[in-house]
Amino acid sequence: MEVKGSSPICLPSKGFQVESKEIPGVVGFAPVQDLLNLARVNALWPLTFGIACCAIEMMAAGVARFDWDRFGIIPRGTPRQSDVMVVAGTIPHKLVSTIKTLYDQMPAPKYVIAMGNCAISGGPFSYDGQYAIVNGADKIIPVDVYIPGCPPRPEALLQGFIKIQTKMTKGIIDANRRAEKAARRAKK
Amino acid sequence: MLNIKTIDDATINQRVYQLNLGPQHPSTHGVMHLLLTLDGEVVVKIEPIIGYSHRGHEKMAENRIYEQYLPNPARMDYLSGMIFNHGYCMAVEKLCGIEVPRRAEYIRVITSELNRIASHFIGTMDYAMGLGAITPFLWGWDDRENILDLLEMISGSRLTYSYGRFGGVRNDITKEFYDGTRKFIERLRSRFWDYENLINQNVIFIKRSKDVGVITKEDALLYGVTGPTLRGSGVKYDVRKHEPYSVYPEFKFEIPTRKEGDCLARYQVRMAELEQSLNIIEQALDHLPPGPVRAKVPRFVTPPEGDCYVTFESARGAAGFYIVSDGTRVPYRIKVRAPSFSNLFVLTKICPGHFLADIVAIFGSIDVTVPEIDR
Amino acid sequence: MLTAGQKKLLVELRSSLAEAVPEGQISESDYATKGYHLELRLDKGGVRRVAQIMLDKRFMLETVTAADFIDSFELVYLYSTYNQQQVRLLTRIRIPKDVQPFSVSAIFPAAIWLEREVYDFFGIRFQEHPDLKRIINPDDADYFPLLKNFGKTKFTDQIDDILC
Repeated sequence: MEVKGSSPICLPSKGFQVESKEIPGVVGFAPVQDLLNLARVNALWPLTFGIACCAIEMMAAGVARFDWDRFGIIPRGTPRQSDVMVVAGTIPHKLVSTIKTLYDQMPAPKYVIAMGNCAISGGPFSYDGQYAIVNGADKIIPVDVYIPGCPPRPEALLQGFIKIQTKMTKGIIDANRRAEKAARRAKK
Repeated sequence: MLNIKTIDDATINQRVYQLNLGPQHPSTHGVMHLLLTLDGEVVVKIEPIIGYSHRGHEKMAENRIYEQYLPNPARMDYLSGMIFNHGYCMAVEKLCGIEVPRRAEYIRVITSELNRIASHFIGTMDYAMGLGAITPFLWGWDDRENILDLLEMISGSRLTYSYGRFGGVRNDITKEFYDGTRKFIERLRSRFWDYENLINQNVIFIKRSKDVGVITKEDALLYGVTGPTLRGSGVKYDVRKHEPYSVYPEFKFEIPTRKEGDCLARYQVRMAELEQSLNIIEQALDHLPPGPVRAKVPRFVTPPEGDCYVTFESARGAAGFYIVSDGTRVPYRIKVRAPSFSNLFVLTKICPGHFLADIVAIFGSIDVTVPEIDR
Repeated sequence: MLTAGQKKLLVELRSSLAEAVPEGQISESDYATKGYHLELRLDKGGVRRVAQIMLDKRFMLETVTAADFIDSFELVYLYSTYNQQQVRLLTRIRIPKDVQPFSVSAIFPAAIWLEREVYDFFGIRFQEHPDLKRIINPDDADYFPLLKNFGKTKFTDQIDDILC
């Protein structure tokens, strides 16, 4: 697909041959999945589950200065409409069933970002003798991307979203971006 | 399939039902679970359920020496992290009898007031967003980013500061911070007109806030309400004037109050406090004394036996630290008086009788920070 | 450095408290080092009488807390004023481990939640409390976290010497 003035975006079908004969059951066909993933990646809708201090940095990533809307990210209030869940904050024992319920309510394909030291491994509150918290979100739900920091800067959260994009498209979006950069450097 | 014959009339004709507002909901106040008992659209009973943000700060204090506990107060009320941090340092200094140099006190006041402005931006603009106004939310957070830039210059952190130390602050302020703060004060004074034109006179905003959630003076006394929530009901109580600490007696500022006690009054009190904080910062910058910023204290501080209670004005109300020491390097008991704890409980008294939509307004106008309630 | 109004209020307060709770020991403390003006030490009871006096004098209940002293608990009540004459009173009562003190929630509704928190963390049950159940810890927890024999504190484990 060529847009005038910009470098060509390589679709996966350019990399390998697409058979032109009729094949039944196209849904499971790998290039279609890759295309769908590219589309999903540019409209990631997170379920914002801000628990503690990291929630404020997550909101700061959403407002005017850092603005996650330019990546296509629109926060949704309900898990039924979201793709990715951002667990931001320390997880006490009372909240474990809530997190599990929310994760189960999200429709597949779903991803989880653990934001902040507390969601990664308990953070500054984990010490020998702590009774109140769970040492990390990955003890409850499977986590895809970990963003360290206490709290991480909003730019770090945006980089976390880019890493999820890489993971969702299995590296294709990374390759596209590298190709764009190389083309721009070649033009200069 | 519902078997009608087995349900008796009382259940079918029951009008009252329970609804969960939380713990996860799009309104941005953290994990707060409100169990509402509703009769149609009118709230009959409200029960806040807390504990979803409990991290065990008070038990952690018994496992840390005083210096190691410094990062913790800022994470309790993270929106006034600097104020809590300085408050904890004040409590230990009172217990040990450490005197703080004047320049450090002035820097503490400047950073505390900057933090208070940042917190009030969140408090007022989140309230406006709860009523549906998205633009003030973006404006308020953008103005707040300027403050975070300034505080990051000297402390290195945007949200959870550990800038205060026993005996002063960690390092001196730079010329960049000084000039930046002066520019910031000028800019913010001109922005007040923008907010006035945008939201303060808006018909929908006023209709949804006026006469909603009235807290009377008697209720406030019985429930221990403090802060802008109290000043909106006509009681002129501010810890900075009533139990002056640090160098607040040297500054001229007023305490804005309103008489009505409804959501609009609390919003107006917070907006008026922004101006007062700017006055304090300006006076502090004008009279900043030279000198050291940190007193000489022993490496590991060992307070004598006894207890002490120190109170200070955070953005949400009168907070306090009650420290019991047994003469060793590890505190025996630290109790934190969180203003949001008392402010939240008054909801059970004032909410019944309002519509469901008003609950969001009332809850937003009280401006709680949930991890401070649960500690 | 107390003002005339504060001194007058202190004198009034001392006399009313001495009248209502004669078994308590009142002493003045140095506000600059302690943070409170008056300290009232009770022995067996009397918290409700003190609360009634404080409400009549327009004080607010600032906080209720406790400390575990291995063979007894010490309950601490802090009262403070809203008006110009700022005075703070600290009431302590040492109770043995199985004694159940009376709740002051009939006089100060703020105590409903404050005493629930003390129950949640220490296991102290208050008599005549309208709604005594857990508030912060999970509802099915079977531990009381702030007791000295729970978890790790300086008594059960020696804190390692911190080298910075």
